[in-house]
Amino acid sequence: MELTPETPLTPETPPTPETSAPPTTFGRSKRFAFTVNVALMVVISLAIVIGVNWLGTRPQLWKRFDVSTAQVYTLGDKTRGVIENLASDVEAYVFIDLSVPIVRQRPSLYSRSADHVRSILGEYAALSRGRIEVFEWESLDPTRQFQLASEIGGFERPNVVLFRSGEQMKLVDVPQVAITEEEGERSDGRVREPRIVGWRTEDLFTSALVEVTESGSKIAFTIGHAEASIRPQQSSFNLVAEWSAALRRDGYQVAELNLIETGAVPGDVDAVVVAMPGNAFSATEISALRQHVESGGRLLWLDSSVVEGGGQAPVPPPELLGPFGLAVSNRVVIQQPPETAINQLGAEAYLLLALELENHPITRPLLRYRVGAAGYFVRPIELTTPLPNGVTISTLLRSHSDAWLRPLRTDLTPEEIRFDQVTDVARRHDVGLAMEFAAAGPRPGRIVLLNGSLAIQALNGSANKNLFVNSLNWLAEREHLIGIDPKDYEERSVMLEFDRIETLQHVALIYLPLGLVVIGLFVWWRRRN
Amino acid sequence: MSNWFTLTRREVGAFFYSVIAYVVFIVFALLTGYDFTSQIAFARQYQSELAAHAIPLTLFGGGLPFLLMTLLAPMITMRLLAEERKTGTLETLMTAPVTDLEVVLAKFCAGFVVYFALWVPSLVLLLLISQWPGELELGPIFSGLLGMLLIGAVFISAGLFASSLTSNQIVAAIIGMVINFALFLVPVYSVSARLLAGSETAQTILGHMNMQEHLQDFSRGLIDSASVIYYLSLTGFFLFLTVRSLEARKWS
Repeated sequence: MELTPETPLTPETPPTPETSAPPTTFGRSKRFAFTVNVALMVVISLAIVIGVNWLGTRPQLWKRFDVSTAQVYTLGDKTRGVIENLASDVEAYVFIDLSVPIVRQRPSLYSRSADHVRSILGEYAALSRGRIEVFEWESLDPTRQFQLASEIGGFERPNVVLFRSGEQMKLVDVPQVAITEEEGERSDGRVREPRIVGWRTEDLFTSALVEVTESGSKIAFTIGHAEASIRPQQSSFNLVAEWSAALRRDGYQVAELNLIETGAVPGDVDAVVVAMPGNAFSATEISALRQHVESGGRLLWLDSSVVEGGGQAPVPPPELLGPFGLAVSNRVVIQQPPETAINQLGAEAYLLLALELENHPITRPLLRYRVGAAGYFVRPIELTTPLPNGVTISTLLRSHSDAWLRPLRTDLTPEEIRFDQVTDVARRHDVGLAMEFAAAGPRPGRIVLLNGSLAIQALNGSANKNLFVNSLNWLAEREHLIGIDPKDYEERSVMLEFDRIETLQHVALIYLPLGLVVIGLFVWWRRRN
Repeated sequence: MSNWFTLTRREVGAFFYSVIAYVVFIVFALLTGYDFTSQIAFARQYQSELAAHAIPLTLFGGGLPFLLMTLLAPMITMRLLAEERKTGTLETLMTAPVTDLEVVLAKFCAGFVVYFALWVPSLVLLLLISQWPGELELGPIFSGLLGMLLIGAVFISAGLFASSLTSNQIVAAIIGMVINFALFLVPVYSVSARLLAGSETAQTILGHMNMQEHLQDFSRGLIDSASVIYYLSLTGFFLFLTVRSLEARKWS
């Protein structure tokens, strides 16, 4: 008789006189006790297995380790902040159909992007602990999501991810997540596909999440003073257009503001940005800005001492900053650069500053990742002492401790710039500040002042961009969006060459199995003899 | 400890001395090798390079290796206890100065070593690819291998339990395959739970038990503590059942 878990075990060895004798009452009861004991232990151990697994999925104990080289699946702080602070639950519908004609032109791009999208969405869902639900065709509930998916047209436009929260929806095209390097070349009548060099999936998905779950504030950029424009491709000098696109991805409405025309900052504007103005503001405009901040409005002043095409820009108006104990002097901070930089850049090396970040919610993510900001022709900020009542100021950016000052001129020679032991004093200079003060409105006023032409193309630092975006998130009190940009991941790859693949096939299908056959025959021969 | 080691060594030696071992090895090497190389050759038709992360995913995370494991793991374990029972050596072993736990752990380790050896040809292929121009992702390769070993531990322990239930090796293999196949089909139950019963809780629980999905995560370079706990607890559970099953003989 064969044993199964349900049947009592019987020995297959020849029965001994003891076992062949009819079981005594004592033997039967002992066996019963043993069976009950085993059954109990199995139930308890099963309960332990279930309990341990339940504990293992608790957020406090659950961990996920990303051992990929580029940490592809590790979501950034910003994304974590967004997911942890989701205002509403999100459904993500993945409509992938690799049989449509357009996919046949670039099957690899589509299939790899689809695979990547699924992986990253899985991370979003895992991190959200049920707040983000991901649905694919096969996991759609026919009574609910299927109907919905049909209504929103997901099946008519394949290869998209649709994020939905309540009535808010946002589509992300699957192939958009890939960063490709070159267009395909034609060879043997086949289209070579563009090479995937990285992914921007997290950037797109986090932005989509913000868009569908948050009603963004309005940010207005002043115009009329030769400011850096938010319009794309208006300038090769500055990056403000690119940076304002990042604000849109954080769910802000971005607009231009002509204070001459409006006379005041409109009530729906949450924060005003003055981005590297080249001309002075009129008294009426300054008054409008002051009224805005004094009533609890927010202001970011991005100061640049140099303007596009050369020349100097005026200092931020003392009438606006003076009442809060701030002044920007029309001098320039000089720092001793490394010798190599002097050899390469000459006098400019003294004016290109690696800036130190101070601890503040705006700068904290950059400090954590040891990302440094840079400035060019940086004007120092001076504080009056004591500060006016109710004003709190935090330093964001500082020069190094060995910095000194010179009157601002764009044609300074190396001789004029060099440190003079007699007249110069080496010390730190504040060049970026965040300020909070009691205002007339229900919330305090906030101003951020960042000097050093941070948005000019030549600096091209992602740290400067993060500083700018974080400043606005702090001003708009959307601290959960403060972080550093999700990185675009570089993709590692191996070259596929026909002769190498052929060798691999030979090894896999001939040499290795043949080797095993030889070893097997040898063992068989030894056993036989 | 020395008892355990001696028993393990004996079992591993016995396995490699049987011709069936080489049949299992050849079948596994041929099928996984064909699956892996044909996917790489297919990719070459459309692109001149392959994403490094796709390599462990193809090698470890595919459906075929997983299916093969469900079927071949019981073939490794089928003789471990069933043969001892059939030849009557189990009684001798049980009366030797070793505990039931030592016997079970030694048999399990032997099965696990053989299971690991199954993957050696695949590692040779990876070694060859590492010589190709470009860069491999070592992290996902190691995590993929870890996933394979963890899943293997579950399948080997389930097979060992099956082997403890009968003296017939074929029956033991079939019972092992049924258990493993039941675990293999979890994704199907998961979708069914959602579509037929409309139960999201059931789907969540079954989703947690979806080994194939875990394996794909491992192969991508993601090590999930919940998955590791799941595999280890399941392995422990089957080993516990095996010890109980052996103990039952003493009372029968």
